[in-house]
Amino acid sequence: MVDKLARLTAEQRSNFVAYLDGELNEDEAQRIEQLLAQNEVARHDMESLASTWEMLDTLPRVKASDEFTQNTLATVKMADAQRQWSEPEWMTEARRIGVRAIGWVLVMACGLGGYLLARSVPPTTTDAMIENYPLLKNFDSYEEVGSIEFLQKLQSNPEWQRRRVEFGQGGR
Amino acid sequence: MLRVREGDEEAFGELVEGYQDRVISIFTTILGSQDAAEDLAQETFLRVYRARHAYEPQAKFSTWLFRIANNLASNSRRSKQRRKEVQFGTGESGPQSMRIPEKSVAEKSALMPARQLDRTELASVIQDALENLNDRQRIAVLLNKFEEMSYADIAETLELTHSAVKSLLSRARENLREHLENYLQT
Repeated sequence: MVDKLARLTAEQRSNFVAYLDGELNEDEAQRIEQLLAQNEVARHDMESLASTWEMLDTLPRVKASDEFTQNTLATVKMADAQRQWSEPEWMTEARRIGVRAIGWVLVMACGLGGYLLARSVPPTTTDAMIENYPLLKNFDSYEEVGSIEFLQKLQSNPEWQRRRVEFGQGGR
Repeated sequence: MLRVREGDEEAFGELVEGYQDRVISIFTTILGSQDAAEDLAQETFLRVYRARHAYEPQAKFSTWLFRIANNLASNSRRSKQRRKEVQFGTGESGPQSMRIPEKSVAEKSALMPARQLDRTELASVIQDALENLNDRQRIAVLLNKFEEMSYADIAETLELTHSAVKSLLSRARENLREHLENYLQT
């Protein structure tokens, strides 16, 4: 049987069932009919396909039990009633909006809390450096001065005061 | 179905009466048990009722109905398969089946190959042949055979292309022929 089948193409075999079901267009149906007229194997194939298809009529056709319709309608009504007795839609929607609002409030509260916490934390070394940057920027110059007493003496020196004014330097 | 969509309960009752036998028949062939078939059919109609507002008149009601039925049948078979895997080796029997055990039919046939099977035995052989198809092939065969659905309608129900349905049915019916050819009466 397999050797004989090999003489038919795959497309021809797939069209046999469609032909039996009336699903081929006119050209395709004519090609199958020509094939059937010329090829005994094809005819046998077609016949056995049709016969085994008819065997399915042997399967018993089941009828619904007498109470099926009533049971189904009752089940549907019960399911519907249960849905109506549960939380009304407006409450569900209100709860949904409420949960979202609470969520947003919590996010904002966390953000604010984080900010306040950050502010209360003692300054780090980096913070101290940033705060004293003006001093650090001129540290090399200040180091050359030597001592505070020298600066105080300089401050009270009239000649020094005159030169400062002359060169337009402000300061204390 | 349009009346059902508008809330007409009487129309829904008519719908159930009109389609119940067809749906239960297909489920019985797939599941092998009328009780299980009626449970699933009831679930199908319940889903139809729940989804009634979404029904579009452009689509055929039968294709929509059998699409829901097919989804439920697939889920049911998958659950049944998982339960079988869990129960393997415990000796528990499966759901009630209306089929004659395959072994006894094969034994009888082997002893007397020329003996014609009676209708019940033949139905059992055909049921076994259908069991050898995959889920899609099986439902396509049942829709084509018993619902007389066109390939286009089957394609819509199973969400396949027309050519995919053509291939599906061709392979399915070849499989059935292989299994049933020996039982063809000469």
